[in-house]
Amino acid sequence: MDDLELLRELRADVPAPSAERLRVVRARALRRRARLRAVPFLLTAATVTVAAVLVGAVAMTGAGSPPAGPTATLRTKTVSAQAVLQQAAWVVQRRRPAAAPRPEQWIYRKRVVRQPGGSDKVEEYWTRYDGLRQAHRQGQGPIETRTYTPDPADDDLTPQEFAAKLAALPTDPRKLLAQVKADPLWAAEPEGRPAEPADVRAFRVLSVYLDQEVPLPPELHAAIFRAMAEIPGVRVDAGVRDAAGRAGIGIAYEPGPAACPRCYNGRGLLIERSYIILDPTTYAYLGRHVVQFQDYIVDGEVAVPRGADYLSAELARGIVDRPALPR
Amino acid sequence: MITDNEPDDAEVIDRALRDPSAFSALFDRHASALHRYVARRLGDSLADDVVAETFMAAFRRLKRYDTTHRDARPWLYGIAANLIGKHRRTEVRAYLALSRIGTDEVAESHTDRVEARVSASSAHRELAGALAVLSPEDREVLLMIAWADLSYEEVSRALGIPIGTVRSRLHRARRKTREALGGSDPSAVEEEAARG
Repeated sequence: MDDLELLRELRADVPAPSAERLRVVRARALRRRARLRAVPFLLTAATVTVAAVLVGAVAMTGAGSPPAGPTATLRTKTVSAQAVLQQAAWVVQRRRPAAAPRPEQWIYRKRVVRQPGGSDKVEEYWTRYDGLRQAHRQGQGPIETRTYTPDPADDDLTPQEFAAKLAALPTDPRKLLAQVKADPLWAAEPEGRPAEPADVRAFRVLSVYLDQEVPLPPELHAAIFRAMAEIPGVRVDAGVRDAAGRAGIGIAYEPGPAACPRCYNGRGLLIERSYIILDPTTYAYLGRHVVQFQDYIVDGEVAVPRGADYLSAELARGIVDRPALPR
Repeated sequence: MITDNEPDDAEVIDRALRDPSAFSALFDRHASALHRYVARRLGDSLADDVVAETFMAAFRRLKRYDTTHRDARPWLYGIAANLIGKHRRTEVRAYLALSRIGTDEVAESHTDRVEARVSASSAHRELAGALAVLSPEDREVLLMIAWADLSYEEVSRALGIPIGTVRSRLHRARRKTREALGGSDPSAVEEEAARG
């Protein structure tokens, strides 16, 4: 038996849905049509969703919060979130704004990702500023280019559109905070599920802004840090390392178990903490570090053990004229 | 399911552009198989959401449908692929759990009896381990072919990538799964070339 046949056997006994169940799905799928047509822009950006998968898993704590440095890879020190974020705002605010790329230029991004138990994986992305072409390279593999049709009705914003969205955001931190809390564009839960608490959404959306690839206008960048400083439960640890081994400022969000029951295990202990890491001097975005505090349990067995951290690191970013390897 | 008298998908879509109620025919034709495919990848609990969202997104994009393609399956599976991708961690965790401890939360998610645990063969555990570490792009192509029974050409349309890229991703994915299964099988390579 070859690998494809074997694969076709895997989960082959998953059944088709019952007629009754399909009727319910059908009603949902077709009923929402009218509403969506009336309000056509209830949606988000693909890049955002990718980031939200990570950021959405941000561990949140309060009571039952473990100390910051339970593993050998992390020797951190908790510092004043307000002081650090205000300082970060001052620093980035003085930067000169980046020139906007031309539509036919490409945004280049190189990052390394370390999955729990896996080896480091280097990925390079080129996205043309107008969003119509993308290129991607894994490790030492070939550059694969593809044509891309952005769909504003389905989570896609081109870099150019994302830049326009960022440019339109308020740079007053309180107004920015109010806007991201209320922004229906960035819902993490499907409709019909309980809505994300406003602060949780605010932290997640602001994290997405920091992670995305379009250069942030300095005033907005500063406002993002100041807005984060206003969210109760934001913690900042010094000495958090990214996947490249660089130590930086780690920002995490822990509103307490009442606000996020799924972030805690059956004994009320925090499962994981998800840091955004900033350069301690320039406050540039370095990467992420998700610390697995508790075993992840599937069916009573450990699927991802405590200590199996997820890390990423931004290795390079820039504007280039074509998707090619930098020399 | 489609008889000679029924309109094909392109005609359904053409009608739905003028009369939105015609769109439901597309759901009735494809939702069940799509639901099973999604459940196979993400487990029972997410399938309803993903299928409903797929058809909602499809409806919003009706105007862009190229009606020279009579069969809408590649288009729908391409939309579903984006939505499935949002649950990547869930998907990968299940493969990891299957490979490490031999129980499959996806296979179990649709069984009523809690005690009906599915104990996987060692080959399936190795296969799941390989699925967990494939790149999302390679995994997408592999599972569209193995589980959704799409052809190379259909996968190419579904994902908006050239057929050559479909082939190279599939080739890479199969090489990795074969490695995980303990060595390569030359006959499988030949078969793959013949499928093209």
